[in-house]
Amino acid sequence: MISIVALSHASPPSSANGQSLYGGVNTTSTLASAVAFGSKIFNELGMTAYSATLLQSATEAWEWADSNPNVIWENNSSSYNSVGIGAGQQETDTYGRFAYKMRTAIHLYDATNNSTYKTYTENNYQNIHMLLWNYTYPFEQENQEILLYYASLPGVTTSVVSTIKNTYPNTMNSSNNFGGFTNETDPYLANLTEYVWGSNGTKARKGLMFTDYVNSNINSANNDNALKAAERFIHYIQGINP
Amino acid sequence: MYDYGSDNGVNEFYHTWFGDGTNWDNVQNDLYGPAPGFLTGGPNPSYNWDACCPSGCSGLTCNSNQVDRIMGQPKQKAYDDFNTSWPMNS
Repeated sequence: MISIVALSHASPPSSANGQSLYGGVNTTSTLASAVAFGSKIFNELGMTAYSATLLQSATEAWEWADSNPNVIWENNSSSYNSVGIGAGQQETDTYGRFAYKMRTAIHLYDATNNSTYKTYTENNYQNIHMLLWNYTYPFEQENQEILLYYASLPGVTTSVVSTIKNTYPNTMNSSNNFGGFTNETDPYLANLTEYVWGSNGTKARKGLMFTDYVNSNINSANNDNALKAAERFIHYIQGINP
Repeated sequence: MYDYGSDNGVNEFYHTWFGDGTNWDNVQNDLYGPAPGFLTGGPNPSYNWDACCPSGCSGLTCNSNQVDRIMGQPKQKAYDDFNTSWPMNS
């Protein structure tokens, strides 16, 4: 899989006629581009041939990344002759590649029921920060959500399910999460501790942490509060009528 | 979104397709304004103008009023409705 693209831009976009470039093959983009979940969606829509194509592609992406775990390609880097391609840095670190691999394994297990992916997931899931640190936060919402999703799948080892389903609500009871909701810490009622570039995205992911709580139904007695907390993040972004 | 009852909508944001000074720049002042449905980046308490400011940016304008509107605000309010490019972009 290629990585980042640097497209020629203009306004309107149809007037762009400059050179477009793309990044090199690397492990990160191969794992990030695996489309096992897409395969499942198209299969449910009855597009079985396309679904099979996507699943084959995802399987091959897994196999390549598994055999080539550290192929790095950095944009905007003189070391990679890529200065000017893309904004910022698209390449992640060792943990980031591991997290992508976990997501790929879980979606491939979901799509195939193949024990290879289950074994990888269950041998490594405790290294996701949610479990390693006993901590949940919006910058890893996707990594947390995929573990909850794994815990919902058939055939998963019971102790793994228990560990995930016990850890998530415990960490969500922290002062940064449900504590921020209960104590109305934030003046906009959408508590976030760290604001960085793109903070609306972080806010949205924080809201998703609460919808993940509801969707995984790990503590139904708290679902009403979780949904209310999630809605407050939407209100923060879109505004609310007085 | 003003046609649908919004009171304090985002009028413009930094995006190549909806660049400053084009017909797609500002929904209030320009022929089209940006397309609806985009979510802006949001507040950024680390915002600052480029290090070349205030006077060493190849003749491009450094707007101190814009910096003042953002810097020093509570982090939830470190935001301004603008889309000027370098050296003032977010």
